[in-house]
Amino acid sequence: MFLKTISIALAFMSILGAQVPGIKTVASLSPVPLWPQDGDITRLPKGQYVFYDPPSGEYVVYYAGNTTNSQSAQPTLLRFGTHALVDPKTEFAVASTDNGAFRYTYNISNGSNARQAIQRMSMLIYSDSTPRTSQATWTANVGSSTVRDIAAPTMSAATIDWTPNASSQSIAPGNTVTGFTVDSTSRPGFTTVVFRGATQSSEYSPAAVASLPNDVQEQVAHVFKTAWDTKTGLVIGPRFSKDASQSEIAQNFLFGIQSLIRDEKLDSSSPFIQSTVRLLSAQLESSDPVAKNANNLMLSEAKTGLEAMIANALQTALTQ
Amino acid sequence: VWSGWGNLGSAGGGFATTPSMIVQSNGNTVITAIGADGNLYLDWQSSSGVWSGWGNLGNAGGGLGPIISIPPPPAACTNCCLNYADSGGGANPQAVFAPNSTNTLYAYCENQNTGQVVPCNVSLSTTYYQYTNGHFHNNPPPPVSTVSPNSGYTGNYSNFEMPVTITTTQVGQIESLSVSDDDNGSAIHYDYGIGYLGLVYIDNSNIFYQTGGNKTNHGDNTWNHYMTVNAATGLQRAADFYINFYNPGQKVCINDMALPIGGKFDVCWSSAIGCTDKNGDLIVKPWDSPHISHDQGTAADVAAVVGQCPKNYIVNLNVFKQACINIGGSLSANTITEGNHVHCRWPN
Repeated sequence: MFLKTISIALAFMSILGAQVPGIKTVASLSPVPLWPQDGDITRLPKGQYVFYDPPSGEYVVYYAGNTTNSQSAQPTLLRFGTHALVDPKTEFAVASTDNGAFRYTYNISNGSNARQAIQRMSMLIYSDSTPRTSQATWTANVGSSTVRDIAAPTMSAATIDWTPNASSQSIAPGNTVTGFTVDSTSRPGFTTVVFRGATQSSEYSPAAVASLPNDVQEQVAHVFKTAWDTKTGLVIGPRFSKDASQSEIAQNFLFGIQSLIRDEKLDSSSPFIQSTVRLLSAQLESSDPVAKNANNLMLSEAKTGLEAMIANALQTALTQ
Repeated sequence: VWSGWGNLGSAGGGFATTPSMIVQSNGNTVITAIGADGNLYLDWQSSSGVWSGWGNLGNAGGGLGPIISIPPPPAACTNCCLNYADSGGGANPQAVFAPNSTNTLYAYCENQNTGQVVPCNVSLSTTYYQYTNGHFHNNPPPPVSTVSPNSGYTGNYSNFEMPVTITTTQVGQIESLSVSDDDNGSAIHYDYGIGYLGLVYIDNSNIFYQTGGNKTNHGDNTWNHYMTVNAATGLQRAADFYINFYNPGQKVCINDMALPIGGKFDVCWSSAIGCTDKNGDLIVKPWDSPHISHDQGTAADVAAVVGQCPKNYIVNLNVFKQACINIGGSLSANTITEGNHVHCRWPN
C-alpha cells in the first residue's frame, strides 16, 4: 500500500510519569491498605478484607470468618496476582493512505524496571470503523468494548485486543515489539490504551471467591477492575467518525495535550502548544468552527516529533 | 386466584376504541381508550390495587389520528438509539469517585525492582483537566477535589503507608492526583473521574429530537443527553405512548438531561446565560447552578417552545407530564411543568 506520509517522525511517550535514571524507590498508590510487611495480622482494620502486598505483587484476601463465631471459624487466606507491574512506553505514527484511510503504527516497549512482561494491549477505537490489523507475532481481535472511557464519554467505542501468539513473545522488561499497525477509515484523535502484565501468581476470578461473603467479594472485584489492575496511556489512534462534532475533537485534543504536559512530554510554554490550546479553548467556549487558517498556523509552529504528530492529527481530524 | 370481572365504568360518552392495557415494571396497570368525544382517557391501578379513576388527557392536532397499538415495554430500547452498552461502565480505565464523597487511598514508597516498602517523604496534590465532561467554560475555574493530608513521612505510619482522603466536589470532571517521592524527586500521576457511571446516551431517533445544546456552554447536543437506564426506559415509554396515542407522527423534543458522567449541571455559570429565579432576578452561580435534579441522570426536560423545537414537535405539556408519571413511572411529586417544558424526574 502506498503511504502518503503526513509525518515521518515517530512520537515518543511514556505512561504514568517520567522515570529518573538511578532512582531506586518510587512513590506509589494503593486502593487498599498494605498487607503487614512484618507479618503481624493482629491489627488488620475491621471490615477490610483485601490488602496489597508490594513485594509479591499480589492482592491478599484475608477473611477470619463469622465474627460471632470466630473461635470455630477457619480464616481464609488467598493471594491473587496484579497485572499492573508493567512500564509501557509507546511510539506511534499516523499516515494517510491513497484510498482516504489512515495507517496507525505503534512500537511498544516495556521499561527495564518493569516487574512483569506485557501480555495484552487493548486500544479503544471508534466503533464504526472497520480496522485491519497486523503484527507478526501478536494477534488482534476487534470486538465491542466493555470499557467506557470517562475521558471520552461520548465515544462509541470498540476495542482492539492484541495478545502474543506465544507467551515467549510477550514484551519482557527492557524489550520492544514493533510493527503493530491498524488501517482504518476513522480519523485520528487521542485514545486510551490499556496494558496488562503477566503474573506468576494465581489468577483472580469471581469463582475463586464465590464462597466468601458478598462484601468480601465486592472488595476483591474492586481492585481487579481495569482502573487498578492495569496501566493505561494515551496514543493517537482511530478515534473519530467523519461526522464527529468539532466540540468532540477539540475536547479530545485538549485532554490529550494536557495529559502530555502533565507527564512532561510536551512543553506548555512552546508556541505551538500555547496557540493550539488557545484556539481549541476558544472553539469550545464559543462553539464556533475552528478557523481554517488556524490549522496552517498550528502546523507552522509545531516542532518536529510529538508536536508535529499532534498538529497533523488535529488538522486531519478537523478537516477531512 | 382471580377476582372476577369488576366494572371500571367508562368516560367521554363511551369508548370509541377497545381499551388497551399495559402492566408497568413497577406493577402498575394502565388502561387507555379514546372516548366518543375524541379525547384520550386513562385509568391506572397502582400495585396496591387502587384504581385512579378515568382521567381525561384531551387531544391534539385536530383530533386523534389512526390508532397504533402500543408496543410492549422495552426490555432494551429498540427504537430510540439508547446505547445500553454504555451502562456497563465497570471496566472503565480510570477510577471514578462519586460527587461529594470521601475516598481513602494509601500512599507509600517502594523499591522499584523488588517492591519492598520503604519509608519516605511524600507530597500529594490534585488538579483538573480543563473542558471535560461537557464543561466548556473555565472562568472561574471549577472547584477541585482536595487530598488530605497533602504531605507526610510514611515512616510515621503503620506499614509505612500513609492513608489519604480524597474529598470530591459536586462537579463531574476528570482530575489527576500527583504523588511525589520527595526524597528522590520521582512522581506518579493518577487520573480519576468525578461522577457516575452507568448513564446512557439518548440520541436523535424516530421518536426523539435533541435540543438545548450550544446554548449554555455545556457543549452541543452530544453532551447534555445522558440518563440512567431506568430513567431512559421510562422516558422512552412515555414518548412511545404519547406519539402512538396522542399525536402520531410527531417527535418528542428532549432538552437537558445530564452530562456524560453526571455531576453538577451548571447552566447558570454566567450572567450571559440569563438564568432567573422565581422572582425574575438574575442568577449567576458558577459551578453551583439550581439545576440540581439533573446531576444524577434521573431527569429530562421535554421542551415545548418554538425555537428549541420544530413547530410540529411541540408537545402538550400536561399530557406528557401524565405520560411520564403514569406510563413512564416518573415521580409524581417531582414531575412538573416549568414554563416552556415539562420536567420528568425518576427515582435516584
